[in-house]
Amino acid sequence: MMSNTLSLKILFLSLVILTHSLENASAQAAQDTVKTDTLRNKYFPTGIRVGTDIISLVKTRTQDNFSGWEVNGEIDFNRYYFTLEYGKWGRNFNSDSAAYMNDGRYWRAGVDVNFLTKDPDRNVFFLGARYGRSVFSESLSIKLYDPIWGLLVDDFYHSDVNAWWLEITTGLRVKIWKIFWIGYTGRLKFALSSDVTDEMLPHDVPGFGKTDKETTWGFNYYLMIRLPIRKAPPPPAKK
Amino acid sequence: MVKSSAWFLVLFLLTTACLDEPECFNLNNNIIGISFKKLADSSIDTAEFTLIGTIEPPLIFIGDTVSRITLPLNYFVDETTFFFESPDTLRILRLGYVSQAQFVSEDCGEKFVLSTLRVLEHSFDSVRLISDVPSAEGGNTHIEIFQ
Repeated sequence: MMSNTLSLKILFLSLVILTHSLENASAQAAQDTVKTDTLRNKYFPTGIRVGTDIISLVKTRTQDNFSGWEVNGEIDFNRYYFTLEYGKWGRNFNSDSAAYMNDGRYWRAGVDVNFLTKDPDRNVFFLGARYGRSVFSESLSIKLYDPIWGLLVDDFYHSDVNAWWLEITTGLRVKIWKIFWIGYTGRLKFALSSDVTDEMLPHDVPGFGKTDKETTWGFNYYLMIRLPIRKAPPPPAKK
Repeated sequence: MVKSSAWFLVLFLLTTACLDEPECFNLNNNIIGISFKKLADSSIDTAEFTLIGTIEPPLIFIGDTVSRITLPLNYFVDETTFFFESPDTLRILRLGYVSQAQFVSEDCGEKFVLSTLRVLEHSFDSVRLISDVPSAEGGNTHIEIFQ
């Protein structure tokens, strides 16, 4: 009898502990679900912004020595924007003794961090970084008279030259009307490397620019449209 | 605050973009300095040459008593052979290097960038390479000749 009573007590106690454990587990699961939902809500992209660089198009129309275009795309993960830029440019320059021409394609990939997280229109002021890569061909024709060494007439040509570099970026994205946005990206480009080119050094790398300095500046002015993926959560209220 | 920063960045970028035009003189780095030293104690030596020049193309630069000279490398090719003629001997110094053309700008034209200077052959007692990158101007010593 004693033994039965003890067994019942133990069974009752076990049930209580089990029930309590299940309740705790259930509460933890609920908490996890809320967390997951919050994270998803926070980091799932709300839209894709695609655009084109106005400066490249204007330069192509107005400058004889430049031809090019650039498109860009951005997708948001909370305050972080994954950015991809793809373009093409060709240049030709003529001096009294030389003629230079290049043509190539490039891409840049990177992340921008938005610092306007409480803006009701979701305008963006960002700092970011890029990795850039270019494949291009270039040619140089020289007809030069040196007072010591005489006349040199020579042609140099390289094709499929690979070059890569890094960038620190900053800029703005501003909503102008419905899905239409404008914005600019300023770039500090550095750490340029390229394939070994035997007889000629690159003068201009598509996507990077002139190679005569270790760092160079770039500037793009974009006209963009934003294609929504889902309804964006409201920005946090201002305190 | 953000708007002011944005405008400042735009103006700064536009201003700096206008400041990158290169100078157009002394673009080629094809100048080397040669010092003459005594083999015994590495002190500065003077050498009397009736002629100093290149074999191909046949050019004569100087004939003098010198302790240091500055000579141009032929940047159209990848090596230059100098001869040093004194009253009793004729010595040579054949130098190799890499010469690469590079466009500079529409105003300046092109330049030649020389690197990897090396002594291919010589008939002096001893020759030492100090620096393997030739200069755009005289003043630096790239090679020491001991005799």
